[in-house]
Amino acid sequence: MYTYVNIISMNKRKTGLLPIGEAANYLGVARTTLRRWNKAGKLEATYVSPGKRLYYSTGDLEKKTKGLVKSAFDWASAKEPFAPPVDWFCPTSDVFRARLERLYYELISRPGQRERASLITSAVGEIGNNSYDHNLGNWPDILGALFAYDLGKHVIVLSDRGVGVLATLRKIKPELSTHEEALKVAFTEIITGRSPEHRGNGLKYVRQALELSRAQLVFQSGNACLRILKNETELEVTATDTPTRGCFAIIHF
Amino acid sequence: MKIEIKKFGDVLVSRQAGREAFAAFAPSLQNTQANEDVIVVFSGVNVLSPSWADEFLTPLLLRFGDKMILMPSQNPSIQLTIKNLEKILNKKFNHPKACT
Repeated sequence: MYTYVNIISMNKRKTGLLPIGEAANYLGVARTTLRRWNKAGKLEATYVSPGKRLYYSTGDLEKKTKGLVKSAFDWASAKEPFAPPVDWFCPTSDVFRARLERLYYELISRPGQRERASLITSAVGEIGNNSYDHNLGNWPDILGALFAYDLGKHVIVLSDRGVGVLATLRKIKPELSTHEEALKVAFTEIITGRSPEHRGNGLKYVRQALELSRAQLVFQSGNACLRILKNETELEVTATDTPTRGCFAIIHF
Repeated sequence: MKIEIKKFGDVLVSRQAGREAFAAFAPSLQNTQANEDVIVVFSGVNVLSPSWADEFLTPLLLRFGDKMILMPSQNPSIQLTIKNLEKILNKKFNHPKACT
């Protein structure tokens, strides 16, 4: 038997309104963040029930996430550092790790994603942890990484203002001279670094994991942009007009 | 000796966490007998990445060699991580005889 709340909830879904829990999952933020945004007028609920329950239209949520990729890119590419969007910023690897676990559980709760969830989460984990592992003690300005996702649109974004792939790989391969070369090496060559540790090989795993999960990747470091497209095994690396300070990645799954 | 990886968490991705896990577990390895197998079990682990695995499994492999046995897993991130690590190390992990 459906309760009154269930029926209300079903009716809201029929009209395209999501209850706060589903809206929070859609944006990849906590319910408390949505309540805060509602109070501050940053993202007001589309409908507030007489019992003060908050409901959101998918249209309003989409408008909010339209800026997600742009915000992450603007922050990674700005010449002068500025404060990152606080709701998506992970100042330490512990914060990143906690949010990554949440991504996994949100992914497996979505129809058809259970099989890919483990590969996508591990690939995101490798990209995100690279930010912390490769910049420890060397962050040029802002410490930390931006990690945002919109599961409704099947997109995950990561960016940092670290030293980038070229500077990291040059420690092991000093002959590298361009960002394009560095990205090709990072995604294709097995590198043997300081034994017994093997830093610098995570992005090859990312490539394989995303290929197996039929996801697409856009990865930029400096002025080089690499694309891994669905059902294509060839890597495409091109020069871009707007360089990033560190790394910027978009995963479409 | 049996090592249940799930006891370190079910989403295992960072080098830092892998290092911490190995450092915490290392004292337990002191009781291992010379001819004892070290069996690594992944059941209950949902996500594994090469960074975590390199910090935990590589030192075990260097220390125990063929005495270290990885139990099979159906999880795709575990399978791909092991394959990847074997390529980087240029060495195969030992698996149970029935599975090879």
